[in-house]
Amino acid sequence: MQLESRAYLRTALAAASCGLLGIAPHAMADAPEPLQVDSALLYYKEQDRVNVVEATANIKQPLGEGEAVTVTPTVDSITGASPTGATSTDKAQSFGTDTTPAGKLPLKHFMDHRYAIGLSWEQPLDRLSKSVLGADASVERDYNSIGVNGSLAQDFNNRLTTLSVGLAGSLDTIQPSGGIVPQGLTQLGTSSSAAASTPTPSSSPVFEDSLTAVIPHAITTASGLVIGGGSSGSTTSGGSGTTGDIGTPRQSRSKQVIDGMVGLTQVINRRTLMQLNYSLGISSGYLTDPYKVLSLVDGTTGDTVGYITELRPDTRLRQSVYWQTVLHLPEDVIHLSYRYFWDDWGTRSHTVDLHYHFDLGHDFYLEPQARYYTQSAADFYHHSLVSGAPLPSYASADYRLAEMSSYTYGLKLAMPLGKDGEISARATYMQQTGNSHPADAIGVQRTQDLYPGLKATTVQLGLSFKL
Amino acid sequence: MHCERIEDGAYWRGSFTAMGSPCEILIDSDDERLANTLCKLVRDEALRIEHKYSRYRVDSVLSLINASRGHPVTADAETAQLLDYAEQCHRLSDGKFDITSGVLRAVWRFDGSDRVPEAAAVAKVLEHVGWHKLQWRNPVLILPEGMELDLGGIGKEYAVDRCALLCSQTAAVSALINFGGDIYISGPRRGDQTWIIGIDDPHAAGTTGTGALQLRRGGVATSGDARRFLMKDGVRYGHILDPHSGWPVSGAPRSVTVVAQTCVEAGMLATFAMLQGARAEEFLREQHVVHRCVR
Repeated sequence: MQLESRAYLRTALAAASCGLLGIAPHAMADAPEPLQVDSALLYYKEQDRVNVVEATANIKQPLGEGEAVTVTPTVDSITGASPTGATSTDKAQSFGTDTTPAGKLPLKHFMDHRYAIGLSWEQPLDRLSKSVLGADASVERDYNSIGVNGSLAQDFNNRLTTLSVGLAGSLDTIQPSGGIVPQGLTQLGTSSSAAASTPTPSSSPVFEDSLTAVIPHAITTASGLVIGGGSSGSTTSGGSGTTGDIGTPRQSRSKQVIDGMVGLTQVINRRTLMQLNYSLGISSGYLTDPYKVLSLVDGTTGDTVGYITELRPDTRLRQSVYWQTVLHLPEDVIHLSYRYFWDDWGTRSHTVDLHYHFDLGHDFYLEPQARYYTQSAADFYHHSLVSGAPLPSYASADYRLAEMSSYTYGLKLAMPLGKDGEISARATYMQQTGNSHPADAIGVQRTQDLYPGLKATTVQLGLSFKL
Repeated sequence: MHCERIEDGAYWRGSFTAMGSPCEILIDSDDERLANTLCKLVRDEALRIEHKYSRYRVDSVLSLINASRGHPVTADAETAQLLDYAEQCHRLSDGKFDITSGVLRAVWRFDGSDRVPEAAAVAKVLEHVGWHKLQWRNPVLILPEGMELDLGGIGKEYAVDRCALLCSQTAAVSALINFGGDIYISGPRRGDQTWIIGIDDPHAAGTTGTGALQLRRGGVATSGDARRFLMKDGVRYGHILDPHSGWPVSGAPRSVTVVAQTCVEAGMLATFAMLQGARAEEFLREQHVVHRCVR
């Protein structure tokens, strides 16, 4: 085998081998695995609130022998309005240039874009184990995040059992769009953090212009997407006692998040697969939403007399257990999962999710989904605070920390596209309800809906193919 | 013959013995009837090929050729294709792969002992080794008296590929065919899953610590047998013989496993690598093949 023939050798041998078997060369070839693309366009619309358009793709390049790299770019565009935390009253409320009519929930309009990218590299370590290493980053006008993650999966018991462990860490930075990180539990319009004891006698409270900078707008959609925002042209001006002059560097705060997971997947029998995960997460740093306030109300009449910025603890310890079972019927597949979540903020939640995969034949399928979610309120959740009463250590009126429950119904239809592709459409409708008329409502508050709830629709188009 | 369902594994397994090796077929399907059909098809084909090319059966086509004593023999189409292939491999390996070298077994018995043959004895047998000494004009073969053909280096891999072809012509399911470690996988399992192939480590019999291969499609073959060697005066003589010298190739790995488009090609690449001796790994890297070498 001389040097010059080496490159030719394998081709010649492959051709000879195929000739022996009477097949075309490459007819049995283990062609390099193709690039796999899973892409989706998502439209999320909350009734009267936020709209999100998101385009995302998951591009996976196998490198052979189980090794692969994956790139996941995502672009979001968020518009609409999110609750400020203030409750509706029987009078009109002003919030910068937005005026909220009597009986309506104060909202703040905003718009933002989010760009995110994830990279991951998976590699088998040996016959029974696999590692995945990843990194991700996202950028918004007022929020940046970078993170790393790693996981290991080890098969046991004739590959019927898989033990997985994962660890992820991220460092997030928020730079409120007004340039100022508001001091927590500070009454708006004053410079004192104990201002709640001196209510303004104004009959119709007004957010001063200067506070537009302090309380712009951020929301987290129901899907967990954190979105910060600032209306275009929002300017800063002095006057509230904190800095905010044009030219002053924007203040920022950071938070660190570490999440760990241990999971066990077990093949129960030929038709049943079960998974049990335990997750532990620690968040520390600035966990307050700089854009949210609470209404300060008169202790007798229930009239809103002012607003106070929210403040949350600077650590949060989250835990959850997740159980999933996948049942393969002769043709259909049922996915049933339950998750119990608890944290040291006093939140407890239960999630039950059911998917039924109807095989329609010829690679068409229909997948109805039903999901129920219920949570208890965080210890420091208050729909409003009583003016003049001693301030709690922490307080937030964020509807996501309230006691609430939601139902989600969805339907997905998928059909094959070529040999390896799939095209799908999915629609879901989510209805979230909470305690609209809590027992501790005062005076005029009893006439108001203190938890207006949320209705959201999601439409998603998916396209998967191999190149 | 019936397949057994592998408990909880969602595939069927049929097993039998042929060509002196344990043979198995794994079928990724829920369809028991189909699995039984494929198992029977594979077993019948393996036994057909064994019957036709076994050195141990006096009525095999190969034995008839080896008993021809210099008289012309007309080969059937399948045998002619195998002889053509052997000729091409002989040429591609610069004469190192030679199906006439089997007669060297008369003097080399790799039984783990120290019975290394006398140089004179080897030289005498070597007179009957060499593809260039026979005449092959498809379809007529003239094999001089004293020479023998041995398809041991091709037959099992050929049987694997033939069986795989029959399976893929019968049903579009993923099947793994394994005849004594020579393997072909006919396509990805349901859910785009791979088949995972462990590789025996000769230093620790029964373990598979040398690294596994995950495959959706393709052939895998191993050349080398850790138990077949001689040891004399501290020198290990592996069982891969150089047909030019009649002596074992020095510095060859204990085993070489190669992944290729077909099992036949994988087996030949593994054999070529062994014939490179100490340069086996270098050769495999140059050929850009997925491989595992055990030394």
